[in-house]
Amino acid sequence: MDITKYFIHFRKPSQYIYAGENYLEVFRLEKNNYRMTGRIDNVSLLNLNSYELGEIKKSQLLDVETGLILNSSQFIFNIFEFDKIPFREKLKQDLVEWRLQKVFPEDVQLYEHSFFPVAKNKILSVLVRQNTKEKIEESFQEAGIDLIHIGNSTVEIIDHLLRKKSSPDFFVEVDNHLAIVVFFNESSPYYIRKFRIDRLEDISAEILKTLNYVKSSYSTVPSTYGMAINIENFEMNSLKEQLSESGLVESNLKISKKIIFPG
Amino acid sequence: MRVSYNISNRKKIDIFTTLRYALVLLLLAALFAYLGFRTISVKDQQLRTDIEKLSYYNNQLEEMNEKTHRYRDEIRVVQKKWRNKVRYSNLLISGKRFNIIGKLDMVEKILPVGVYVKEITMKIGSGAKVLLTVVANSYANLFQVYKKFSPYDPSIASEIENDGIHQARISIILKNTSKEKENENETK
Repeated sequence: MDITKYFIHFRKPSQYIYAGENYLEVFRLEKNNYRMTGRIDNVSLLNLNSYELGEIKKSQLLDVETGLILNSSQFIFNIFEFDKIPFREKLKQDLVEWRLQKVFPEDVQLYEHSFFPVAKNKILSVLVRQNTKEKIEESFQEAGIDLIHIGNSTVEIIDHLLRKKSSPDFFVEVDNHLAIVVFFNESSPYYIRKFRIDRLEDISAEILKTLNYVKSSYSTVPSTYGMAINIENFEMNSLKEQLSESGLVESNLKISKKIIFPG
Repeated sequence: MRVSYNISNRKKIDIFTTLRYALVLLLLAALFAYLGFRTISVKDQQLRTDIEKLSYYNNQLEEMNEKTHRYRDEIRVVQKKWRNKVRYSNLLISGKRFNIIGKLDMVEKILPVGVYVKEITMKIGSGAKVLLTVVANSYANLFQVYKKFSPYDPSIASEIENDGIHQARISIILKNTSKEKENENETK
């Protein structure tokens, strides 16, 4: 049993960077709430070198412990269903890796693999390339930024909904041309789809396509949804209308804010 | 369910929160240990009480067993006494069947005139044997006695003569009357 999961608590950074599709946003903890204090456009975190990151630090960041929330562009998600999840961590890991190898063609060793039970019989698997993580950590270290947390926005939303007694049937997270739809059943996720769209107008069509797939594959009829959309000047009403025409009702859960920070 | 996702290699432990949780865990562990100890001691106390009770009941049982044996012995003695009494009573009952008056009546009828009985002895349980001391005023009368007693297996124990008075000690067997025989059969 990995006791760190249950007994060891890690420090929360007082400053976060959200790495979006082609921008960065800086948040600081003020009166127990994270407030956006800066935004840098036309920047991709993975393309920044340590010098550029150092310049950003000088202009936007405080010299404090910092967290980084990445959007899901570099992440691969899977939800595996089992008859029974073993209690022992090693057995659990072997089981998940065995299932992962069946669906994932690449060498798992090249990836940072994390997995979390999200229901009695379901495990959420999260993969990110080792070299992506190493590059980020190196750049931040060279830039003198004390990076103590690297997380993912979609996982944070899932965590947020898992803690609630009820959740919408699915939520949509959109960051420019990247969209993730996560379906929930009895407050636990069972299907995740990540897709890219060329035109923002195509979001509703892709969502409905995914919805139809879920209806036919999982014999469920999702009817409520939540949204976490981080696009400037995006006409939300038109998307909501299109989803409403398909009988979908927006859930009043508080997942519509841009980013949910670990807590 | 919680999903705490942090892949940073430079994670820093929140010592204050961890210690707080550790303290809570420690307190809970102490509480459980205390409750466990208390439960065990209460159970132990109960067990001791039960053992004491069991020991008390065992002693009681042993005492009762001893009493039972004693009572059985006493009952055996009483039964023995009672049986003896019953046997004695039965003997008395069977003695009642020995018809003394009938036998005296027979002797009276058998004896001739001029002869009288000085002494007669009949013992219960001695069968039909009757021991008589008869006195006659003449030898002829005494001879008459011998003659009359001849069907009853007479046995003359002694015969003396003093001043013309003849005295003889005779034992005869007076068989049971038919009525006495009926009673005997009924008893059998």
